Amino acid sequence: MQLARLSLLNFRNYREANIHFFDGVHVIYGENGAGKTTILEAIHYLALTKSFRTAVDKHLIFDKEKMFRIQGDFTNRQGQAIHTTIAYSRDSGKHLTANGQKLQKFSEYIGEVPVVLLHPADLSLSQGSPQQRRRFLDILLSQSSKLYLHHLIQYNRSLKQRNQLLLKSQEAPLDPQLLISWEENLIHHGAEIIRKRQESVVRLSELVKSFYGQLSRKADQVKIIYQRSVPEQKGEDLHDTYRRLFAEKRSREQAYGSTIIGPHRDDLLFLINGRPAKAYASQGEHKTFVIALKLGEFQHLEQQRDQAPILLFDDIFGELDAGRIEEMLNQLSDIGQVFVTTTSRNFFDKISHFKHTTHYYAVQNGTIDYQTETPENRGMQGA
Amino acid sequence: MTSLPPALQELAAALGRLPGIGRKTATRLAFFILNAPREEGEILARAIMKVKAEVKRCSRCFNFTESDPCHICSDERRNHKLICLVEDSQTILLIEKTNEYRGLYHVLGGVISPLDGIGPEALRIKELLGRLEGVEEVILALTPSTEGEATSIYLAKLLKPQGIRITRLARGIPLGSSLEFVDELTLGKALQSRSEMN
Repeated sequence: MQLARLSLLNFRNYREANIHFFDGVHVIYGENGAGKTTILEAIHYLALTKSFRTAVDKHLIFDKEKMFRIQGDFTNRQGQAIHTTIAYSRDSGKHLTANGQKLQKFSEYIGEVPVVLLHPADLSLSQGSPQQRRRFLDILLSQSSKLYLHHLIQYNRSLKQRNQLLLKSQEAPLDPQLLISWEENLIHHGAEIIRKRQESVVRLSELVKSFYGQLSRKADQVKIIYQRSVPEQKGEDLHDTYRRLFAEKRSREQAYGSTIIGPHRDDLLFLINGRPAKAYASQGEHKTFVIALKLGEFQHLEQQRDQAPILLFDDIFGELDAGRIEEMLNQLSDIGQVFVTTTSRNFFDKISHFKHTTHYYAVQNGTIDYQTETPENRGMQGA
Repeated sequence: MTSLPPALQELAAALGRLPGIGRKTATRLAFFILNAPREEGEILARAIMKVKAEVKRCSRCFNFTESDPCHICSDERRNHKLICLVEDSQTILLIEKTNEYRGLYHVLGGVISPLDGIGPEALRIKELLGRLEGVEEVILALTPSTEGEATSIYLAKLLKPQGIRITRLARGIPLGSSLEFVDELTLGKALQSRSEMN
């Protein structure tokens, strides 16, 4: 996947910008608050119709303007052009247009432009909350399968509805059939989510194992296990297990006022040499694990979509040394396009054994509605 | 723009309450009506008064109609042993356009949604149960949203014990999708391949 041109209008601190990109690595440098991450944020927004920095779209609007607009011209591996425009206005909300066609459901579009993001918050993936790991898996699978995203949206909606019923049942007795109707919905969508996760985690685990080995240069055995609240039972259909668990837990769930079984409670267990990384891994091992995980995400998406995802590395150089980054990028045989932000351009100059062409962009925020754009092809091949 | 005559402001405000009409469009429409010949405004006003006065709900199927029972319920050539359950009257229009269906309808008036405080008692379920005499099949044609699904499941469990065949529209892929998710299913096709619900 290649982004040839990005246009911004009233997006964050960009009044108006029109930027051209190329093959290979794009280093976006400038001072803090200059608007480096905003470029990555805009690309991410075009791919997933969401920011990774805020859930509130109006915060993305420049100052007191009424709307922002992001446009991107992409070309996929098959040579097809994808022109995406997303406009958000305070009055009428978000509108997505792809190749001139206005799309009512964003879920139809997500995955057309696959991206993999690595930003500082990801470095706690292996140590943080289960929610963070579910989110990682959901973003990966939503981009690789539109059906997965469909089931996920329906599942989350059904979950909210059932939880509302459970809460209400604490005040007044409830028609049990009503609760069961929502359970059947959750089972239908939840079972699809569980199956898809199970199958993908097996593949992801293999990829991560291989990347981890290459990055650490040690014979560590790495494994990812999908921990599910609706387990696999020999001789029992997943739907039946799910139904049985609901029947068993229903009264407890009514007491809680929320649904306690299902894929929204699942987790990923990361193992290094058979021991949980969360409890035993060193800080260095955690970092290596997260990078291997992101490379695994890249490879998995690449295989699923037959498309090299666009890589976005936001300000991770404070956390990782240049050697590791270089190694990480060189791991990816068909790298496609990479965007990195850094406060210091020099940092990237240190990477000498880099296989890919590098382009530099300076970002300055001195003037509000102007952005300098200095693509310098340094062609750092070989060295 | 701040000092529109009060009558014009009132019209724009009324138009702005219509679905899909924003403030700007409402103002534009209000100016259009004001600039149009007097008769134009009267035609519109009369049409609104007339629709409110003359169109009612059919006492059997609850579709909008000027005669009671409506022309569908009173059509002897249609299959009265078959009822298609829909969320609202607009769906009837869509299904009629497919020319695939010759049974009757029942307008439920919504779907179950706890988050919106809509339970089974807020829908025309009792009215449906009251007209099942001699009915052999009920087709559930609710929107494929989670709410529509849950409502279908609820109704299927309620109607099955009455010995009525319960079917629903083929579950393919949501209608009106595009790109790869899609499968251009038309409503007519979905009706042809409706399936048994367990």
